Amino acid sequence: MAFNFLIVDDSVIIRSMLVKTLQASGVPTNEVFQAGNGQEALDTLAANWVDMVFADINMPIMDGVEMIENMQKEEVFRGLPVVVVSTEGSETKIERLWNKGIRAFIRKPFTPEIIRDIVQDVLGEWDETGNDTATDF
Amino acid sequence: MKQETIRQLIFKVARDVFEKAAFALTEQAAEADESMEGHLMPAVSLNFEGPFMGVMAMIAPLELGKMTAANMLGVDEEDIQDAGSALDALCELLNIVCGNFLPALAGSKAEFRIGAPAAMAPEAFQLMIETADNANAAASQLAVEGYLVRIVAVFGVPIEDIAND
Repeated sequence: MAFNFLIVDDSVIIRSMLVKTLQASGVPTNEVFQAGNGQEALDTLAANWVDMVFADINMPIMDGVEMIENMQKEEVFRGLPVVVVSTEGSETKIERLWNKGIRAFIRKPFTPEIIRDIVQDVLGEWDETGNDTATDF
Repeated sequence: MKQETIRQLIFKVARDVFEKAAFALTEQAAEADESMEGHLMPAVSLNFEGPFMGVMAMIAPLELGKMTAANMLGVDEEDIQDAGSALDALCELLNIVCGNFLPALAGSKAEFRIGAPAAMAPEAFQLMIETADNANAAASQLAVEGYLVRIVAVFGVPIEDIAND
């Protein structure tokens, strides 16, 4: 099974880094969509199936918090795992994000291993053929 | 808080960010090639607001921007042809430096909003550097892969009023 990802960040270079990291991590990847702000992300989600979202917080037009709140209003997006990748350093703000139901928080700078481990935690393990081992009996 | 403390904090945070995010060897500024003549030197800056407001800015050679962009993307430096990618890398590195600097400065409970980084005129950066000895500013220099990088932070309050909670 291959997964679809959505990367939301106003930095082209961070989006590119995450795309490359996903490709190099061994995660069975189908499509990786990209968005430069929360509104673009919501538009992408409305038009495409996505298994997991990586999102920055500080973005123009619509920030990551507002994007997450909008996702929670839609039943179809409510269970979609969101991993925040941010420079945010305030414990108070990070706690608020956890209370909004994010699945993980990654502080920049990040290593490829962190991304790989988070994807495994959130989506489950997979074997070399790209099969989800969690469904192996 | 003392100005020298903030200078050292800027250096420490920037060193960690350049090494972890851009895989770039970072040392004390004495190790840098001080002569940047002939190098294109883009400057980038961002604003922040919270318990206090301020501006953080960085100037670095374009070659370093290309190198860090290549390192961050895992490609050869020759693949980074455009200045835009180099500038994007410098902007993001400043963003990460500021994001790690502010909680180290003001404590992890302080809430800041960091604006989007953008290019700034080198002359404007020069003006900021000239204020770096003022009571509400601090600057640091570092050698990143032998290139001289300067970072300056200007606060809306005197440095001595900034407390780490």
